[in-house]
Amino acid sequence: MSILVNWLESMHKEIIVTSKCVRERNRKSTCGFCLEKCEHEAIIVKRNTLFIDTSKCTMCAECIVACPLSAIEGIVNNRVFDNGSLVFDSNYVPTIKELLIYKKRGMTSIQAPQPLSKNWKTVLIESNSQLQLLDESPFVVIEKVRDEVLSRRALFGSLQKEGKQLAKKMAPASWKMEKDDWKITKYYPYYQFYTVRLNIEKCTLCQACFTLCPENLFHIKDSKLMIENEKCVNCTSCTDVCPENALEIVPEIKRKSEDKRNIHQKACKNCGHTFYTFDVETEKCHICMNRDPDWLSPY
Amino acid sequence: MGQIGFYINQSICQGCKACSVACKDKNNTEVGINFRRVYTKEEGAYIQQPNGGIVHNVKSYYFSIACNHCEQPACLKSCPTGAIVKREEDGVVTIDQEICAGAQLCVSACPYGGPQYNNETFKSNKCNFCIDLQEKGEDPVCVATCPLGAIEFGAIEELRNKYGKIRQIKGMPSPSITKPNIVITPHRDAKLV
Repeated sequence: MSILVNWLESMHKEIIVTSKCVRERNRKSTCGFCLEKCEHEAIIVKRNTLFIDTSKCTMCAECIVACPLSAIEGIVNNRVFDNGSLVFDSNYVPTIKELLIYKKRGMTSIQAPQPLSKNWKTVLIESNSQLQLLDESPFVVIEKVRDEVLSRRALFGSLQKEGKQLAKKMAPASWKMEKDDWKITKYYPYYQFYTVRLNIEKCTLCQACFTLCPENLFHIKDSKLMIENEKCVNCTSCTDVCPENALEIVPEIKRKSEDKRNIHQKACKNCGHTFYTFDVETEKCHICMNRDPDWLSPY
Repeated sequence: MGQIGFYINQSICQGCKACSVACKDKNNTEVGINFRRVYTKEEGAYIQQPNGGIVHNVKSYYFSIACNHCEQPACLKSCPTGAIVKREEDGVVTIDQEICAGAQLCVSACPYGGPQYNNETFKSNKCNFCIDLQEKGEDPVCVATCPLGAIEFGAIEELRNKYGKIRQIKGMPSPSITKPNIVITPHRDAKLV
């Protein structure tokens, strides 16, 4: 008896916000894709970190899909597929990011009665135009997957397939969840979805974004500042932390490109510490630059 | 308990830096990172008199300072990640090491040089008033160490009643910036005129 109960319990999993959430690392983060998506006000903000109110959560899983970092854990089980075709459901509207991810998981079409609902249509059109930029074939809308008369061979084939699907449904919830399942960059490694624009006039190379970026976009190597745009998922960590407002995340789909800029390593005239600068003429590090020389030195 | 603060009897400080060393030992900080620092100030020179004699007007003194757990901490306001918090119960300002992203804005914001950046862990940290020791009923390590008993701590109101309200000496930034919770008995040469 207890084995069965344990098994049934394992198949259910509450939706939780994991420690990957940027708000865990930055108490002033403004990221709120999940908050925007949740229609039931089930996500509570406490000291700027997020919790899910299980009494209000309907397990609709919209937040899981919306999170750019795939930081919300849970199962998305209201999406129904039939032979690589997403079955239309008026209870939800998929997001563009979601459809692009399904594309890479093998989805080719949407199965829906004509005409397609307006909301779905807008998402479909936008997804298809983005797929074009990603050099992928567009989704088509189909009425219904034809029920073919199965040959003996196909019958056994389909039994095997259905058996697999059943096993998948019966598996414990934790087995079904994969790391970074809803991170778009995982699926299109050769493309970038965002460009992180850096204003070198404003940037002091304080490197606050280096440590805060969960995707490690920023690097310094061989006197060059490198920004790996293809890793950006638009979590806004860098723009939130930048004290100079020198960063901007611009949505832009294209083949991946690395942003490289020449920088100089120098010793601060004031404190002697080494620092990086874009301008070879700069004499003081960004800390000394902002301090009154009459103040007590931290060194 | 209310806001707590340090009392520095600068008039008797000999500049042995035992407080600074004890603090380093307790917090196990790297070379160059000093949550409590002792500054040496020197001024004046030897002057040739018209009659041939030489006199001097040399003034020198030491001054020990850590974090003043200010009323309006400049570090807290500057922190881009919200890692710095001022505790409600005693006003102690701490940096949450889990959250600190090492932006060093606190280092440049603090007029007293309190926050210290560790370039190996990429995080800043500072004096936390030895809250762990205080919870055990012990004194902060600098207070316990000073061989001259020149550092005391306690409720800032009590310290002000006991020792006066001086919180700025020569060479120190104006208290109007952050309203520091510190009381000083200045060295005779360090008094502000």
